[in-house]
Amino acid sequence: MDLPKTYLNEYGWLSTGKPIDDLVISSRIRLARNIEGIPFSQWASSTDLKRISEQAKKAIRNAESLDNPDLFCMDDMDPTDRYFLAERNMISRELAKSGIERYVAICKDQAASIMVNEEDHLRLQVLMAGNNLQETWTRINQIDSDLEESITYSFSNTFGYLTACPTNVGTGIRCSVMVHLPALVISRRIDKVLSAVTQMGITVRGLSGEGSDITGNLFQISNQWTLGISELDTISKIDTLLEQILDQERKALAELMKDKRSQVEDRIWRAFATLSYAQVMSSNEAIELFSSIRMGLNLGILEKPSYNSLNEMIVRVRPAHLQKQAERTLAAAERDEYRAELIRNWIKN
Amino acid sequence: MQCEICKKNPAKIHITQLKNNKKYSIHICHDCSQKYGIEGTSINPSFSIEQFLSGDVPFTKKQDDEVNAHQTCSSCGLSYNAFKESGRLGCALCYDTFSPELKPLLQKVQKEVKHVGKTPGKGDAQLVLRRNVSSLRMQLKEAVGQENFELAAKLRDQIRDMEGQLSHYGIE
Repeated sequence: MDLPKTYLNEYGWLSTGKPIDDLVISSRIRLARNIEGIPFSQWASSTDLKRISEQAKKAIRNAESLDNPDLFCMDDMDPTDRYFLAERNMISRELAKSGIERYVAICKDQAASIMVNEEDHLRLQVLMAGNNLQETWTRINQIDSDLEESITYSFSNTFGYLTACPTNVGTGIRCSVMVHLPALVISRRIDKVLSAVTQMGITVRGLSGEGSDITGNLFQISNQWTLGISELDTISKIDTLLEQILDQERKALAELMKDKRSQVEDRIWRAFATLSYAQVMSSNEAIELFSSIRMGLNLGILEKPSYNSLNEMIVRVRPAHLQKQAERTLAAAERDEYRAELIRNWIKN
Repeated sequence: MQCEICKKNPAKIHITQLKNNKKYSIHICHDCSQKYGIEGTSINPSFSIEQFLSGDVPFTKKQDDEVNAHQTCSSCGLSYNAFKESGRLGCALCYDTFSPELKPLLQKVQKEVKHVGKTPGKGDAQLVLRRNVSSLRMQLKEAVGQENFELAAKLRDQIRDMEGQLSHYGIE
């Protein structure tokens, strides 16, 4: 099945929740679940994988809160379409690699999705813009309960929801908030702030999750503990730490503006100029420059683009998105030119 | 002394094993030793009192074929080594099978080894029964670890009862 055209023009989760936020780009929660009595997907036979997908599809169809979502079979999809969904963070890169009986169900607003036969039988996800873990939890909790009407989850009183990887066992929850922390990076305080945080069952990763580098001063703050702590306590722990990190970032920004105002302003306008005139641009360079544009918006130095449009661009400059927009395959060098042109037109308007 | 398995006959066979610097003893009657293939002097070296009492490995005379059975999940066949290499377990039962190895691992990476939070909301009797069996198995393991064999025997009987009830649902 091809991706409907609407996926290219509508940005789903980017406009849900609280899209206008100076420092928090998105809030995401995922739940890992497995069906009782069937081996975990990695070790399951093709017959078992089919049993999993059949049960999952039935439960997805019956779940009222999912409201008849789009269902895509990975093996039937074009690779560009699969990576398009991964760039939108609606599926993992692992699922995008395709494989037997792998599916994703995506809700109409593109904020909720369910991956079938990834590392676990079911991976539920809700993604919203801004600092919004509470609302994200309310929604995913409802979806989880609805699915459970049709599925018997693998569960133990001691270990909680049983997952393929023991680092997810228990609540099976991973809450992540994506934050923009340029002032802490510029003032070289980021390592100190983050190392204090990671000692408390919280982990910090780059833009694309596990194993990814830090790009564009964007950090994902997530919980590490899933056993011995409830979902609500996990959320409240992240919320509290997030407030502390954001407070440090605001203080660092205020100090930078006090001590190095011209350097900060120069950085913002140079980024604006490069984005306005560059002829060739890699996606990493674009994301680094967007960081300065966002800082310009935070400080009131720039009036546009909007936060929402900036968030969309972080996604639109990625390879699969560029190729969907161009309606053809683009080689790496062509993509860099196409990207530069797209950005020039965007920043002018 | 009464047989620790059937609780009826006098215990005639006494076996003591040392494992991980811990001493495990079992005192059983002749009938039970025949029934479970525990035959005193000719005991197979792969026989583990600890595992036998915890009910993890159904003990039969076929134990010769089950060397290192305690390191392999009886449901999905995954070995502990395969788990160590991939970092992924094979099935739900692996959590029971590898519980002694997993618990210290979980203690390192998790807050506590006790689930707190949402539980499946179904009032399904069959489901509740299965969860209780799983919970009792954990308690049984702990009781065996603490050499509290009286409690272990009690728990084992409860597990057998519940498993009997589960067999009515057509589940082993």
